[in-house]
Amino acid sequence: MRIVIAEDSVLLREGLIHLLARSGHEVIDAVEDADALITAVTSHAPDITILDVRMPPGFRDEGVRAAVRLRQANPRMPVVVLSQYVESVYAAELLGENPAGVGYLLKDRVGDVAEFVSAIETVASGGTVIDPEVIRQLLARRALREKLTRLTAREQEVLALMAEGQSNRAIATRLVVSDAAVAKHINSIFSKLDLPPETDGHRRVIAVHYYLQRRTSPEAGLPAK
Amino acid sequence: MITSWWPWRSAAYIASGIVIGLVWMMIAILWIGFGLTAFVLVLGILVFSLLPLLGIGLAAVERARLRLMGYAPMPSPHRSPERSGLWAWLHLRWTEAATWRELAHGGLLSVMAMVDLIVFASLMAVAVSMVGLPLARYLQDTGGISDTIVIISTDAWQTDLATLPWPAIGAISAAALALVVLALWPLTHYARGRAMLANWLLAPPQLDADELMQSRSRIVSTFDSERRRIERDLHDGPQQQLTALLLTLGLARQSAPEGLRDLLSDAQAQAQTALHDLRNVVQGIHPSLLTDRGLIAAIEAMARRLPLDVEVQSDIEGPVSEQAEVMAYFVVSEGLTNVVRHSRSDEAMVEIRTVDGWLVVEVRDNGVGGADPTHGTGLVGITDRVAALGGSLTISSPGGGPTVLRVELPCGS
Repeated sequence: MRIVIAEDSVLLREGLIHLLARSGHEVIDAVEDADALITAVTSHAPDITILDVRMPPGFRDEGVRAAVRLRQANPRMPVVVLSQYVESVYAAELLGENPAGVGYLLKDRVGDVAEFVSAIETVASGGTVIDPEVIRQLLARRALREKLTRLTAREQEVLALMAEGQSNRAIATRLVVSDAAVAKHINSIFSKLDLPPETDGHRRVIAVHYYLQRRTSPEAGLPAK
Repeated sequence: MITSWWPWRSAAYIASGIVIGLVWMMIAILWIGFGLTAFVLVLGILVFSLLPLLGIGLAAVERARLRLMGYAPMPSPHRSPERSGLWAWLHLRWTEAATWRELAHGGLLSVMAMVDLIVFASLMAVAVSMVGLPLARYLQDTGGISDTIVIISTDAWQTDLATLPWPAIGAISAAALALVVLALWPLTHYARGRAMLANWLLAPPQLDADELMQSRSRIVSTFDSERRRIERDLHDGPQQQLTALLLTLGLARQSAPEGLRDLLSDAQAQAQTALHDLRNVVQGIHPSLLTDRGLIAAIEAMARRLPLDVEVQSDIEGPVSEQAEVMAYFVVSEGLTNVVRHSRSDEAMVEIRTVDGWLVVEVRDNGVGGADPTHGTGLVGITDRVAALGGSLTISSPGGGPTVLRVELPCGS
């Protein structure tokens, strides 16, 4: 894969380039700020863009805004946003109407090299990867938990993994059950939560996030700058 | 007015001022004269260098004398020297504005004492002789005084006391007495004016309430920007370094021989814990979401991390200063933390709105109440900081609940 990175910390930038190179990927450009990123992506048309949330000049949420801009310009552009903090507000903004090719992860995840690279590859191929920490924040709400008591413990686990963007196969592997069992759980979850019947992976993530978000942050959305 | 002490205090103030002013003037003239004549010797320099002593000594007396005019005892405006010794003391005094104000006050008092003396002595003489006319006439009649006393004398007309009828003498005397009594009124005001002047020159400089408020608000503001800077530094430094460490350990683990992998996993887990803990500390110092997405988003995100069902309602119109936003955030944070810790409540409601230029924040729970705001919580520090911004914090927590924490902050603070 041809990858563009935006990360202002030299240490991490070099580390990421090294890590991705070892996994057989090519970092074609590595920049320090959001403006340079937009230029780099426009000229290189990479397979995927990995970017930090906080970058110069403001050291605020430039990365989130840049990712949203990139995907507005090209909705098929896969982006992975890395951050020292994950906020469900940002997750909602990044997922938008189209979670295909969106990743939002805590920076800590680079520690597990194999899983991190696999997450990048999933996003590059149009998948969705949301940090478990975001899902934990969303599920932590008592009001939501009460509504989720309709689900069995196993179904709640499956719901959390679905929200992270995991496929049926991945969920089955993680929970050590059969694919058929996962499919059964998912059907049950969808009917208990009155979600539209499951179709493909992306709409499933949207449905689950919509369900989780609307009870936590009714006004989630990118405010005008 | 005549029945109060003020006329007498005023008279005493002016009279003692005359004595002190004249004595001081004489000492000062002698001092300077001696300094000038001894100037050829080194002694003259010493005499001049001790000149501030004159003003300082007088000022100490004068500050005490101001109490006669109802002023509260006031401290000296002088600072204490950092080092001991005459030289350090002298050096400090020569460089203090207060010293020269005191010396100027000495000069002013001398001049005024002379003017006072002339005016009061002559007025007093006229008053006493007018009021005393009946006595003079009595003494004339009984032969005690043989001289002619001339009351009014012009080229064309002359009146002798001995020829004046008694009713006229009585009337003049009574009128003079009335004038003396009436004169006490301007005297009181004159003395008050003099005291104000002395107070202005001699009292230690005081920050007025506005200035004090502003300086407190500046301190809070500095405090906030310092917190933001620390948060940035921790984010850009240790947090990124720990993340890079995690990455390096991950890479090492991949290619490490079997025997090393467990050890490297442990090292990674430790780095992860350190990063996690640091992250929590940094979030507590300054929440980045507050800067990035504003107060409401930050409060909602904070609420999501608590084991509490929090409803956030907001109605904010017009601009709210960053300082007020940061303050409101920490108030809500402290309020919700207390709900979790003490209220035995599982629900809370946060209401944030602007009312006529004030940011009003309320944190309300459905708990047991009985919260003691003075008891060891972080609320004491927060109360001080809210006050420093010109706001107020109130807690209502009757036994049985609910507890309501309410903060009002000026939007522009």
